[in-house]
Amino acid sequence: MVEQRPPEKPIPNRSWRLTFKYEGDAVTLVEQESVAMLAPPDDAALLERGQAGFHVELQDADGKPLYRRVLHAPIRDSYEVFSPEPGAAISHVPMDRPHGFFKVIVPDVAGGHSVVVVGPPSGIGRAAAVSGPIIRVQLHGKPPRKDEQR
Amino acid sequence: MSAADGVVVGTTKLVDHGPDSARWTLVLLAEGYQQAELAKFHTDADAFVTRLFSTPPYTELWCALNIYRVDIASNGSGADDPAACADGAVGTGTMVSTFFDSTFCVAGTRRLLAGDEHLADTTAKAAVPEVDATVVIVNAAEYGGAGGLVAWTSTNAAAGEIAVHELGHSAFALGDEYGDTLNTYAGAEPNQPNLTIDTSRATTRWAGLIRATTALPTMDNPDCTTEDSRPSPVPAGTIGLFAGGNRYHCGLYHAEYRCRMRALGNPFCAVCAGTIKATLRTHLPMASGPVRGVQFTGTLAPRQTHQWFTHDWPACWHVIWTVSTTTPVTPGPGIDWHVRVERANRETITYWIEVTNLTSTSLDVEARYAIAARE
Amino acid sequence: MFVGIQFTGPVAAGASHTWFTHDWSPDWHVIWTVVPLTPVAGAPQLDWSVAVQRAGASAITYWITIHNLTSAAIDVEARYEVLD
Repeated sequence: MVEQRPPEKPIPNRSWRLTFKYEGDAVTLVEQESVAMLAPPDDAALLERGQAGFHVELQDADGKPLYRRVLHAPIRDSYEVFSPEPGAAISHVPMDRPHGFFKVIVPDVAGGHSVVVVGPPSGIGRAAAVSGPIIRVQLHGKPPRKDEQR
Repeated sequence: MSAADGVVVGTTKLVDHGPDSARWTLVLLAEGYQQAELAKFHTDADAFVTRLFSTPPYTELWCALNIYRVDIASNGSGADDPAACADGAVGTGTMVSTFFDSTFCVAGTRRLLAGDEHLADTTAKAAVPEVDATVVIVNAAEYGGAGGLVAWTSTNAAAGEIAVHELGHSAFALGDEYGDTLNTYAGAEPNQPNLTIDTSRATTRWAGLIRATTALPTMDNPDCTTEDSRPSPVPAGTIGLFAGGNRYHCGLYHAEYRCRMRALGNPFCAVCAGTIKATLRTHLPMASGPVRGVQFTGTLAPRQTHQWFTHDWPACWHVIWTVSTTTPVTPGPGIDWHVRVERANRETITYWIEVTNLTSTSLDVEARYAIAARE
Repeated sequence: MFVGIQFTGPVAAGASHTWFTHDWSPDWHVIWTVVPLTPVAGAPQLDWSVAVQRAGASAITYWITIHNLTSAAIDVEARYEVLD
């Protein structure tokens, strides 16, 4: 079977890169940049199958997703601890206070209006909790969402 | 300790497979190297590049990558090494002034080695705006490292595996395939590509990779309060459903008994490797040109066979060879040719082109190339 | 025109291995090239040959045989260049 066929539509090589800071449950945008780079592939198929966990969405002005990408634990409340012995168990130690940064890269496509990070609420066993919006960012130079206009 | 404790000296492209806007771009940052130690950083960075090239599936998707190193001269050498750590480990007590203020004993755990991740990220972006992922190499021989916005690794020979595991998380959204303190997962299907709750043969996440003769679940955990340390019931490389994931001992399954996302020192399993490939594949060189030319000409005596070689061709270029004769010959064929290939090193190829004169007269020949993809 | 990597795999020392790839359009002008993934300097490591099967009215199967010319196992990569 042919693995690659000609792309059905051009893959944009301009993207938005957004860097976020989190302190406990508070998530804030630190920086938004337009960058000449490819965004990772869309994960719509993964998310149709399973929704538990974190993901980022690029939405249009109506809130319709244009692009989605799964994220692994962008907001951490523990550190992974490793061992030099091959095959040894990996463990976690909790952070005193969850804090840190994460970034997302979404393609700069026509109609892109907002970026939403979706994930479960904090707490032990958060991987099993139901996900919801954590932060929404309106991209630079975009008008307010239609449902936000007065 | 901060950016005031060092200076960015310069940036070097170690692996150049074309424009950064099209490639998956990795940046290696120096931490805890004084100016006089930057040559060591160059060696340590090269060692990490070699490690990555030797790690499937990066090997086969190598042409999708660009890699930079950023030389940063810190005032001090190494990393902070607290005398006492909450886990009982003992250090030297040495505290050094370094650019990213890295330290062992993060969160009271000696092997956790990390520093200012935001500064590391902004430094990488300033040096290489199109950066996709960043690894900080800390000039410390003791084993240590960490994940997060950037990956941290000491220069210990085994520590590079930490960075490769963490890139699996940050760049490819792979989940952990082990349990540690959580017993039984009771949530919905996870969105991560290498974990599932679905044990149905027909619908499980990687059903297409599982043989009909493989039992499902392949290995369930009889005691959900601890990790299952039993040997695998199936041969190595068998794809099935093995209990453990996202820190839960039970309720979540991963694809193979051994995988780097379960324990370091293992290859990536087929599902994780496939996920990495799917992302990197979009960064492979596309068709371009073709750029055509004549590489060499020569003369062959009657019935002679001669082999030419041409070296230092970028390994990521798609090069097509043809050979023609410029001496009119009738009737019948004049030449035959054969191409053999040598991977001289990680980045270059030597082509060996053997041409045979099929006639009873001297012939002039020319070898032509057509480059169908360069960047 | 588009290019890609169709498969990778090992070939034992001094051995040949044949892969096949099916369901290619007969309308495409397809060229196959092969490179080693295992760096070993000094001499040729591989060559290859391509056999073609018209599997159906609208399907071509390519059979690509790769010969390891060395005394150690190597990993190889088969690439396609589709000229139209």
